[in-house]
Amino acid sequence: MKVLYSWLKEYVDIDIQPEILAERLNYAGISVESIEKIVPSFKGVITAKILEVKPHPNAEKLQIALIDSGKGTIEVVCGAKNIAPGQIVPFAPEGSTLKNGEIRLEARKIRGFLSRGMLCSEAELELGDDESGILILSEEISGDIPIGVPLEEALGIKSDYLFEFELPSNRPDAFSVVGIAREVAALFNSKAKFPDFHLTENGPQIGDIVKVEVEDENLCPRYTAKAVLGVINKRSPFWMRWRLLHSGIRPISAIVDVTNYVMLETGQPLHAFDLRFVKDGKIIVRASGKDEKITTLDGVLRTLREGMLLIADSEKPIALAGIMGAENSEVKEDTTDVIIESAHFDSKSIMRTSRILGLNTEASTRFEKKVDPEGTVFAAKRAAYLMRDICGGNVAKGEVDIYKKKAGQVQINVRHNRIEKLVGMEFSKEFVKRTFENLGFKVEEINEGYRLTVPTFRPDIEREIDAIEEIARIYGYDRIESTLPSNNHIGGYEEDLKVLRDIRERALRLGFTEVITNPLLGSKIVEISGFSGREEEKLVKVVNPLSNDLSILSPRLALNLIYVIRNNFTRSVRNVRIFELGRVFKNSDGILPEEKTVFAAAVCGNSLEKQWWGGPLNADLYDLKGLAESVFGAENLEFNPLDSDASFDGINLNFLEGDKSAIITSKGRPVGYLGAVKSEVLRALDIDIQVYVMEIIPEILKSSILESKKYQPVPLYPAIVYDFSFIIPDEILYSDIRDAIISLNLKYLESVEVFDVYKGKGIEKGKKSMAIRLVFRSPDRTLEESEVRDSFEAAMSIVKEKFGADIRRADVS
Amino acid sequence: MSLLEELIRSIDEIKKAASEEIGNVASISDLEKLRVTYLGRKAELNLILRQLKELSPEERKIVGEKANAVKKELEEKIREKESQLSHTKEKKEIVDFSLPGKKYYVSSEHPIQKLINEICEFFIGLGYEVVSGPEAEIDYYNFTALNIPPYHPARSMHDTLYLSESTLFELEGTEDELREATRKIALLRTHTSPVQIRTMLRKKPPLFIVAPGRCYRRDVPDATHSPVFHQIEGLAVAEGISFSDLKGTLELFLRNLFSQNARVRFRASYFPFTEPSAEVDVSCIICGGDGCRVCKDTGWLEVLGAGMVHPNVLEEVGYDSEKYTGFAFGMGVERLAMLKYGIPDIRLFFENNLKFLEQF
Repeated sequence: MKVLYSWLKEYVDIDIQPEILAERLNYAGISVESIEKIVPSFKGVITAKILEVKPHPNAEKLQIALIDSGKGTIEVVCGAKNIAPGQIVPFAPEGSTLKNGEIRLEARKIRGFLSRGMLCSEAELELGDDESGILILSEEISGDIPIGVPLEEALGIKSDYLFEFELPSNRPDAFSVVGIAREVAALFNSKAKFPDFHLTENGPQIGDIVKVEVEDENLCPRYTAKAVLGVINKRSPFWMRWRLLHSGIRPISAIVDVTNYVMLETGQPLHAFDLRFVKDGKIIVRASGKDEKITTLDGVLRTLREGMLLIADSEKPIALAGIMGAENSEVKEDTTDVIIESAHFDSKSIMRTSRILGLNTEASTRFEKKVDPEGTVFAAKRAAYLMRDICGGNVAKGEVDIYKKKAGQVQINVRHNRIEKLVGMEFSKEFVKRTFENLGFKVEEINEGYRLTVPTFRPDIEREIDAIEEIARIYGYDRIESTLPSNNHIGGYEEDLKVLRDIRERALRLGFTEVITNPLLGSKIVEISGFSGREEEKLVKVVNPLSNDLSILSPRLALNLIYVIRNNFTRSVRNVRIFELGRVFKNSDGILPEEKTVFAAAVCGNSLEKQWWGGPLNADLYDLKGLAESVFGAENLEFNPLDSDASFDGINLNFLEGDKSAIITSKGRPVGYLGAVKSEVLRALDIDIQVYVMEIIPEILKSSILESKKYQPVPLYPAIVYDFSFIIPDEILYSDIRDAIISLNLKYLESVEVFDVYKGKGIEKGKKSMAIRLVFRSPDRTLEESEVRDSFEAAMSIVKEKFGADIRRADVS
Repeated sequence: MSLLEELIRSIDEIKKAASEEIGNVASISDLEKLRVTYLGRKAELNLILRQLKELSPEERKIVGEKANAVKKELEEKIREKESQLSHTKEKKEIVDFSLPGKKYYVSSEHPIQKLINEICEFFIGLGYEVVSGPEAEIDYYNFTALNIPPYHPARSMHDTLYLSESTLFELEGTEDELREATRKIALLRTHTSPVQIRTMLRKKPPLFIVAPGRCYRRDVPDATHSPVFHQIEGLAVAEGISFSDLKGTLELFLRNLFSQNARVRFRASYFPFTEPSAEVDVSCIICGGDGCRVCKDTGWLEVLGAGMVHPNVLEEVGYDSEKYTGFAFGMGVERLAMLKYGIPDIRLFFENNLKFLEQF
């Protein structure tokens, strides 16, 4: 909300620098977003009186005005038609400037007639958007206007500031000038004043003009109506337009402007109906029927749902209660008789209708926050007063005020020691009492503290804590001292987070870079990854996504990593080695989807670039296998080649190359997968390099991470190491060889490890060469080679006999 | 020839042969082999010394002294040769230190996770436990239990992404019925505050926790908005916790995070789940408080929301709100990271450009 400082000052006596006021308000939670100094864009423009208007000798469309500028008479050429003798108008003499100096006035001949300056329109002065004629000050300002004085003085806009407030949503009372004045008063130990006026009611009895029927008092606890008859609905005066404009409301006509002005002033939204269009002057507040239609003031025909609150006459809806009026009863230029509606509507009902229709207005946002039910009559009277003052006419006597459901008076007890305990410091009783009073509470001192009667404009004060906040906030948080709570807990990570933290550290150590991706994916990646038909039902979708690209919660973190690779590709980064610890989602039978934390990794390009000393090393599946083994322990994992239509965790793995992928299990339980991404998936994403991905659910493996470390004796005695290489058919796996050797249960055998695999040049097709290293060691003495020579021979024999291996070399080292 | 003469001749021969070989040797490893041959445990000189017991005491003395003298002489020669060899080697082999060092793939941490860990570690030091909760959440935990019942105006401050059709606005029913209905609505959590509720439901006070995690809002992505972002939530509930404690804790935290000289200010604010509530600002880390583009000339940066836990929230999880009081705070990690590292655009965090990540 934006308010001019001069307006605010009308309701509270203060004379403080705007910056200081803003600072105090900020501390108190009435956030000042900005302060703008209001400076007219003109300089040197003064008031002048028109003495005579005569035609221009050489131009039909122009006139000559003889004016009194306070220092003698001057003749100026004027194109506007709305000038007449006796008017007081803005005059820009020679040497004055407009539009921040952009235009400098000089005496110049216009069609042969020397004009010494010009008369100005509102638009030329940048005081408004009316450019149809000269701004006639004598019509805008009541009372005597001196001649020859600076225009800004005559208009009362000499020096002002515009405050922009960011108001808390629980403070409907603060969404008004009076409300902010009340806050200022409490902060500076002063009292706020309400607008002061005397309303003359000399029209007919209100009951003869308007009848109101409230059908649902829950949705409309109070409905107040007043009427003003015989008005002339012209433009509202300059001061009102000026204030509205600065508050961000476009002036329309006096009647409409008054309703907006009073809303800004008091916080009570008002609506004006043209009596002509309210059949029989009868207003019915009722819920809409099914498919009832209304064309609102914004010109939109709206079909309503059953139960939305309407203002209707006996034939038709004439307003969407508390949100927007209807075109059919709108106040127009020729309106003469006006009904002012000042009601209290149920905040939930307004919120519901506003949300469903997607229609937010100044009125609806205020009603949603609960306006003061006791404020309707005052606001209606204030509006009637201003309408009569500006537009003439007679105010009908009295008001209709249907107030069946009276707001209960809220009383709460506040314990003085509770204030001190909660805030953490001592307060004087005098300060506490005074603060409550300045904020509009009635205060009665009781034994342990205070009995407060909460003003009806403060619906946010419901219990003791709400009142305690008032004391802390008005005292100023900046003045509250700082302490630390006593806490004898030992901090740390909960178990699951400890596991993730360790995984992360291990992956980082292995040279994998950590990424964090947006789990919201688009339908495209899901489509190209082969989640269709029944698979699609497992996907978790956002029902109100911002866009199609952010509509599905990732079912596979690997997809997110493929996207990261794509992002890097477009920036010519082709060597990628990344991991993420994130969540994946799958529909479940419950209310919430199944959500799992997964560890995913991806590689492509080189894991080591070609350099002067060696390389390159291609990134491949074994980078990922190595990562998994290092993080979770090789002994805890098995890698099983993929079946034709394999899936993991209930979702297919169609995006992987079947023959280059594996399911990872631990003691037979599936824990993840790894594999090469299908080339058509990569092509669809413009990636022209092989990408490998892996995903593991750490939950099942967490014991391997949490296992507390126990000391193992460090080998003391030298080992005897044998290497041997051989050629075997390609389909024989390393694990076949290893398991065969292990099955021999050789004495002193410490480890079996492959250290070379070669296919290609020099090796027959369909075969490969493999080299194995056997390490023998005794824990308590140095072995003689002769003790294990037979074991080594046995290992070579079984490889030879069982797999038809052709032994190439055998060494002891 | 007597044994004495034989031994002395052997010693002379060994000396001659060894001296010659040492003189000719060209590498340190060959020299090492010679050392083993002539001076090792199985070396001839040592074998000779083992035969001493067969000689008379006088003879023993002669041979022993001679053998030891030769041994010393050979040791000296080997040492000399060794230093000679290592000296010449330096002249022969050139190490080109202008060649670049071996470049390995060096991993980087994601700045968001790095900062989350840093912040969590600070609070662990103060005795807080780090906990987590689901990102897909029920409306009840995300809103209702946090004193944001159906139809609460604060619901519009969070533009929520729903996973199940939210029909709240269409439901007729009593307040209690509507509150219950929120247990059946699934959404993506808009803040980490539901972790407060989940934790309080399974633990009794005193309680000191921080909960980092991902949150979602229906925000159009731009330089300062992302539909997904991270928050860290803190909660302390115990007997006698006051607003002063909240101030002290957060001042310490922010000075630790930004700088020892940072100033911290608390402004009143409104959050449904805390009361009194505060927005917490830190003096601008760019300009030090003089006013600049980053702080929009205010000298302050808004970094945290905080407050005393609302008694309605404590009561909702069955805590005695008379006995226990507490404070809670929440912060946007991306915003803190942007300030801390001078990152201009929030979207950079989720693009994961390696050229960006390798800076952390």
